[in-house]
Amino acid sequence: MNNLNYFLAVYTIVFVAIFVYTWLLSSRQKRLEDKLDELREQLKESRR
Amino acid sequence: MRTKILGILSLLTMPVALYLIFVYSPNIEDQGISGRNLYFHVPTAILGLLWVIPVFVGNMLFLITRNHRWDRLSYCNAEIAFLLTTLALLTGMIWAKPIWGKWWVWDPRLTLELVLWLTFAGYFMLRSYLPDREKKAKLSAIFGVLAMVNAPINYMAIRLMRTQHPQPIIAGEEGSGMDPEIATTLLVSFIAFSFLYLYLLDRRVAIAKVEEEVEYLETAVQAQ
Repeated sequence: MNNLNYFLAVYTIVFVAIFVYTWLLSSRQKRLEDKLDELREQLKESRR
Repeated sequence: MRTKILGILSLLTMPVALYLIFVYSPNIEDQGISGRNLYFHVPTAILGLLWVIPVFVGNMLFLITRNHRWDRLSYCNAEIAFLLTTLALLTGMIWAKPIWGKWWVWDPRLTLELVLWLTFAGYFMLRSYLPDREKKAKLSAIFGVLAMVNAPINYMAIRLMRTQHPQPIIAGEEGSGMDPEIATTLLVSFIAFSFLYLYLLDRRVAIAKVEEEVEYLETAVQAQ
């Protein structure tokens, strides 16, 4: 019995899901850090 | 620092696990190469059930202390548990097709896993609809309890009921068990995936802290 396609499908799904989730985390982190800098700048400006 | 250590540990263990899966491990009798799905499906499914515990504990500690730190920890864990449950369902379905001839059967184990997935889906839907932080955290706790009720029943389902899902090979009846090569590969896969998901959790918690800081600063900017 050779079910190589099913095995490769499982392997691909697991690693693609982990890769996509890691990429989503990285892009979310980048967006939040930019927003954080922007807000800190706004606060500094308003205190001047 | 902890994130880096977990990242390095997963980078070190994952190639070893993949080598064992692809090269070292023998095929499981009668299943051909698709039997090797065991090394992706079983660690994912076990970790998915175990990950329910920190979600529940976080929810309970929030209800007792009202400290939002616990709610944050709980929903970050819930996100990883949701990812794990999704992968356990998908890898299970793809494994079932060549072995059972069907993608899905309404077997107690599979149905309970689907209920767990729906519980987490409900958890995140609820959180995205509720704007009030306190209410969000309190109502999330209900879903945390539901997931915690599901986990032990789900674990025992294949021990107490006759199911199409295979009987347990870990802590199963007398005569159950596996070859030493298969057991070694499964253990290393379990360790590698544990490090990987702990790494993802650590990153998710760090992001949640920044999200809260952004929320706080937005309120401060609006107030001025």
